[in-house]
Amino acid sequence: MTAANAPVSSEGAGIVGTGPSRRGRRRVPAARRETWAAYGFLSPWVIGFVGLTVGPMVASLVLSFTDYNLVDAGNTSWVGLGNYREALTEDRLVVQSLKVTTYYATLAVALDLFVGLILALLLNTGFRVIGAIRTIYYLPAAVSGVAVSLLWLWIFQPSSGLANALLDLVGLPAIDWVYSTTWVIPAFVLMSLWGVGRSAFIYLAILQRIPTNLYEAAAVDGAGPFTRFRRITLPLVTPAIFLNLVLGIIGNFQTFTQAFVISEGGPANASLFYTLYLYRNAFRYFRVGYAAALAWILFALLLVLTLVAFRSSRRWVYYEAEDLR
Amino acid sequence: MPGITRRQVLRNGLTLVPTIGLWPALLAACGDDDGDDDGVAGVDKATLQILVGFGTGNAPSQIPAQEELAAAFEKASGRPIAFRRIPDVSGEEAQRQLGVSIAAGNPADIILPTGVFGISLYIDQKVWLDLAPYLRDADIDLGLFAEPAIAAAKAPNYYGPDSDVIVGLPAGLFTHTVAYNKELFAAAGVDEPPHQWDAPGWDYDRLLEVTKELTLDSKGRNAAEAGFDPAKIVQFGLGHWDTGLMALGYGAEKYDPESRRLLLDSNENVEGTQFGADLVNVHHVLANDQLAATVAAGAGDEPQLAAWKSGKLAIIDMCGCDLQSYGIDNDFEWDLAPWPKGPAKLVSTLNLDVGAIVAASERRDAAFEALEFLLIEPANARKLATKGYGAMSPLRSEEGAFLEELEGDYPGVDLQLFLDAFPYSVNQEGWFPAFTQVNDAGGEFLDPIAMGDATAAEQLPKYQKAAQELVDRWFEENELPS
Repeated sequence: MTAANAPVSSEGAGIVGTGPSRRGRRRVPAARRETWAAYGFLSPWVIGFVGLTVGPMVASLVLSFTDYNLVDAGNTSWVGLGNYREALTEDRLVVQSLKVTTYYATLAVALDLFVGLILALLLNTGFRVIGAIRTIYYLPAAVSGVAVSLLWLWIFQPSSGLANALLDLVGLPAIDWVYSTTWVIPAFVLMSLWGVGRSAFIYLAILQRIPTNLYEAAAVDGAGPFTRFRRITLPLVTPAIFLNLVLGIIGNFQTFTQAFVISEGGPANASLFYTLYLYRNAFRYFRVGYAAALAWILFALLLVLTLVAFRSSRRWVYYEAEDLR
Repeated sequence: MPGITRRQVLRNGLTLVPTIGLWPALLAACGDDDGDDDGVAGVDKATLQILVGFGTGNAPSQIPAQEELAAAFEKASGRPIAFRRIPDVSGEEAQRQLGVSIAAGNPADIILPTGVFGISLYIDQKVWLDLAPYLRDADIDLGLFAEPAIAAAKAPNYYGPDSDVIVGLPAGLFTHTVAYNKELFAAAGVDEPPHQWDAPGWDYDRLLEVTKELTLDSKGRNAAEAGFDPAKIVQFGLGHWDTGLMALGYGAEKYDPESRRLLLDSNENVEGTQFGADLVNVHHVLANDQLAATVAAGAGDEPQLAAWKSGKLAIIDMCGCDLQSYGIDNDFEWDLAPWPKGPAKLVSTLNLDVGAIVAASERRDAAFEALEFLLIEPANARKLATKGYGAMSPLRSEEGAFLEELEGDYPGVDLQLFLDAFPYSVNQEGWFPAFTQVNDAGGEFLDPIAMGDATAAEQLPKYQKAAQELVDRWFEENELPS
């Protein structure tokens, strides 16, 4: 076959069978068929994204400027920035819930970053049953938040819980945990370690890509284990630290289930998380317009925190690829 | 690899639009085209829906009576009843579902039962249908019901004291007494409480004396003795007790509709609330949930119940609604006694369950017909109250039914005290402005009192200030019906 008589598609040369048929019927090119197929498969997601994410977001933005009440929708009126003004200047429970949430998120993110890294380093040591251990550590991520909360409620029972039994073993006094204004947030922070497997696996993915020859060269140069960690491991895992930081900030500022199931915001509003207060306004007081404003305030707060994290990352996150340019 | 051109983006975007459009058409083609469907699987528009989840009514033993009465109603009227059951004791999930279903235009027609608290949550949001016109049309006299039940079913703080508006028909009544473990009294050599309401000498002071003698530490010393160790209590004189209610005996009220002011920092409320907290933190005679768990191993979710059943609580509050749990299968002799009298008055609490029609229902007439069948017809009302909810029937004609139904189950127990409690029983769940928000705000100020971290004199003025702001804002944004 010569180049002159070889079939040529309209999209590119050399693809057999994609040109016009001998009978003169026009056939759809393969690339276009693939494109249609791709759109067909993509469209359920697009519908879901538009209908279940973008649509409700736009609706909630509009509602946040109204006094929409879930059970009295007929009397809805436009209040402009009234809901935002009330939330930011008049509602002391917004301040309380932001304090609680910030306190919790700060401790939970810090602990998650630290413990996750330690755990990943241990999992990266390569001993035999590592596969089973990895599975065990990731299992909690697949368990329902309500079930986990109920389990921890038992662990934190002052009289018969496991936590105080352990304290008793080492001669420490019992703690009231979730029944104490002082300890309820630390208790939730400890509980958040239940999900540390997620961040550990992000670290682990990076750790396993670090070339061993870097460590070997450093060892030849006389670097000890701590120096090798500080000079090689830590800089190379900073992208994972950054990712876990951003995910941690966003996730922990939206903490809800534990407070809803275990403490209901108490005692004395010491665990009144922001999203719990938002939920109360929407589904207990039915002030959906106000709750929508609270949601957008949280969105704005998270956006700012995320942008700050991204801006600061230029100073401390090391991307190996940038050095290769 | 070449980048994507603007032309490609436009062309592909335009291609995506009709592709997306196919999906709704496909889903619509697969959907049910039955126009009668109202959004709940298997329920057509003729079916009345009753939401059960605002309190009692979902225990397995309670369901058969409700189902039998629903079947009887269908037989009599030709209209079926479907139950939406939400088995959550706190009622929070039922509240959420009610709100969402009203917003979606698909609410249950009837809420049955709901306590007055559940009614109060939504009165000012016009969720409930005023039943007065229906009662007039059906020529039903509210005198059929016990007076405390009707008083509680109205909302005088909202509609006014002279209004005939009524948003719930009484379905079940629960009064409160105290229950005591006779064997612990005998072991301590303490006289049992009287069996007559307002008996001389049975007051808060005597309650404190008795419970001190009945509270024991691990060395057998009682709370009135020197050397008693409150850190090692093995038996409490008092438990399963709402300390907030102690203020009632001091004459405390929550709200004054004339001045539109809450009365949370009144002297009566401060003294009563402090007395209740001191029973736990100063006198060490009352077991809160945490303390109850310490004397009942493996208590689980219900430490008070476990502590009572293991014979570690001498006296408890006994609501008629608790008979099926605290009153059965006890391995010790027990009996009932009246509530003790407070410094100002003798007062016990009254819980009332009602049936209410959701104003947004499309089947209001049929819903009222069902309520009339279930709650006015004496035999049905009696069955629903006693078998369906374990309550006293609020119909005057059926007052004796409670004893007739239950006497065989509780031999030797003075159940008559529940009926004799009526003159002293007051419902504390009536509406006041910003009802839910004020109640929710309480935890912040009341928890430190209950835990002994602050005094009532310190906390209640703060609660009053915060709560009154909520009430004032309510009046800025709302009006009472004229």
